[in-house]
Amino acid sequence: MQKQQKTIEQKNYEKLQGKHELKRPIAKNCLKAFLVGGLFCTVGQAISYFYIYFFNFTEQTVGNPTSATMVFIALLLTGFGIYDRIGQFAGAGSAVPVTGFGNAIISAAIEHRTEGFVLGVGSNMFKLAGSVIVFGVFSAFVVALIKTLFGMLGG
Amino acid sequence: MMRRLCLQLLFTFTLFLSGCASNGDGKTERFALLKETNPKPMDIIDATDSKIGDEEAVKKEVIKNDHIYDVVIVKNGKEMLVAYKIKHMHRFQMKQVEKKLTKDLNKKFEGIHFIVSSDYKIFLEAVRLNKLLRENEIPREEAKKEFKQIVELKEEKT
Repeated sequence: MQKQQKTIEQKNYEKLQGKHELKRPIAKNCLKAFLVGGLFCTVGQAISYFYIYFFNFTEQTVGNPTSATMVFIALLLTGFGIYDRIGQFAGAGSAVPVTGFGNAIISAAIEHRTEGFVLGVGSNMFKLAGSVIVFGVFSAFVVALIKTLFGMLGG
Repeated sequence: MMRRLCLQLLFTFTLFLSGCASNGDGKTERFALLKETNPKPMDIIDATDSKIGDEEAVKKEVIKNDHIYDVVIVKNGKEMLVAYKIKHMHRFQMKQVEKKLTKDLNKKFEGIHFIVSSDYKIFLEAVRLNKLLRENEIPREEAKKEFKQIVELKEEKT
């Protein structure tokens, strides 16, 4: 489909809008995301050392309980309304780590709480995070399939 | 209100963490990840500081590696547990180092079954067992059992 030509008024308006548009502070946002995301990762590292020290987890196996704990902490922080403030400040820094996953689940659950436990919370809780779970499970399946095939071919 | 809630959360979390503090029964191994330990190799069978022999030679061989800076060795009969720490910026080559080290040790010291690991947990447990053996605080049978448990830790994947 051919792109419609813009009229002079439209072009002028675009120029005017461009002049008044607030510039996004990309470098500042990146720095904030880096610092807050890094802080989350530091906490995660401390938690994994805690599990290594006091429980029978090795570096190989400590990932699962650490992720679960981080998600749990994110759930609590979201429930108390603290995570939203962190999210506003840090942007992607709070969304990319596994805590963002916990936030996505609990915020959807809180949002639909009034619609009931089954049709509200149950059916909407994974509205945002469901795609992440499906993607993770499916990609794990594909990788496992490829590995198995290579293993069979390689003997 | 919010500050009070945060403080309560922090207090609960600290309480939860401190509850587990009594689980570790050694004191030195608690800092083994932060400090360099390099303890003398120990043999469960002798339960004394090992004489200049295989263990010392193995330790010298391992510490020669540029990627490694801390080694602990525990021997149990023909099995030898070699746990080490890798320099931080060399951790990307962890797998290759482990593979090469196992190959080199097997080649140089025939007849010994090496369990080589750079895992922190295995290092901690090895330091703890090494210390207990050095201070004669553990019976031989129990030491063997602990050795077996450490080896089993290495096999765990999930």
